[in-house]
Amino acid sequence: MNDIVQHLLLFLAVGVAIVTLGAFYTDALDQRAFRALPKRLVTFFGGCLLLVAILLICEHTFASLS
Amino acid sequence: MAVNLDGSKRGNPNVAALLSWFVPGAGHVYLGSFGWGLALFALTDGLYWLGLQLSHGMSFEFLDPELRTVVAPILSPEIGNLGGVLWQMKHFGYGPGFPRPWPEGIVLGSMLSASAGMLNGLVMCHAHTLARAGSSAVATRPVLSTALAWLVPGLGHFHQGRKLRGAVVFVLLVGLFALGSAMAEGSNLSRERHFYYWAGQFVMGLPAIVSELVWGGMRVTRDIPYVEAGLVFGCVAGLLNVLAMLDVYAFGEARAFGWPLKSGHPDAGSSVQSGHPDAGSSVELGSSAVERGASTIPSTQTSEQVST
Repeated sequence: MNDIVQHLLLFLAVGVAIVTLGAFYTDALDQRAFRALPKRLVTFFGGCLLLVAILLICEHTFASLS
Repeated sequence: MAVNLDGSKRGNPNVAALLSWFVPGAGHVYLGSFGWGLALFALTDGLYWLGLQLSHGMSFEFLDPELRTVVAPILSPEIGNLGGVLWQMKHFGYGPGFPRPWPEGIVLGSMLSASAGMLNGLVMCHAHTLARAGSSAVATRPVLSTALAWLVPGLGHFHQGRKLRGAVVFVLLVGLFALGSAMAEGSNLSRERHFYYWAGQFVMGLPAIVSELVWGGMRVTRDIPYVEAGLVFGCVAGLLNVLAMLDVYAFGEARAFGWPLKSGHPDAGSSVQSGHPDAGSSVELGSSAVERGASTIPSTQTSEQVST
């Protein structure tokens, strides 16, 4: 397994824990909390992806040595 | 069980909690519960004192000299017992300023004083709840569940009858902590090595304590490639347990006071029926009953009976 896949899997693991605990904290009812999970996961990982894209663009534009 | 919140108020909850922060049990004495106050003082400060005896008050000497600032104790679990921390800083501080050997009981002693800090956080919650509920029987249950949630992630949810949620919390948090410890090859299990990360993962309770007692003494003899990720995972697991503890406390508090349960859904509050063991307990709410969150669901209702 190469590094990037390993890093992505690790991020997935910690992301799932963060989002699930967030959903539990927000909603005291299990069924509602679980129902909200897919949307929350998409929002969280989508937001992270957007952040990565912004950082890569900034790095390419402002920090690239070439 | 009927509780009239207005009629049974014993004092200002914030004052009670603040007093307990300075002197464990002082909040209970302020509320007129001398027995509770004395017992909690003996337990909490006894634990702190035992920790100081075993560690010779050297817990904060784990920090490198450049990190020995006023912020350090604030970011340690001991801060839950402010009086204890102030006493420790006054009498031991950061030591004489030169390196000296650790006493034999430093690991256990450090854990005990940190546990006293966590315990006093729960004592403060109890004082705050007691001031509002009036009855210690009502105040104790949510705090007991929260204590269990600290000791073993998910156990507090189990205690409240929320078994599925408890199992998920346990698997996620203990799994995250185990994964972190595996990546750090156990090097995260040392307060001496990683003072601040250790503080975060200490909130994991027994999994962190037992792991450290069993594997904490290992030597690091080579580079550990994923040590940073492992440290972050262990610490995040502990911090997420704070969220789980807050969830347990809020649920217990809602049940004790008959408050509506918190829900982030706009359509919450419709078509749910009782399923909790103590469901149906009638609580008379005074002016202190508040609506919290975007919308709410009566506390005597659970997900298992939610009609979709």
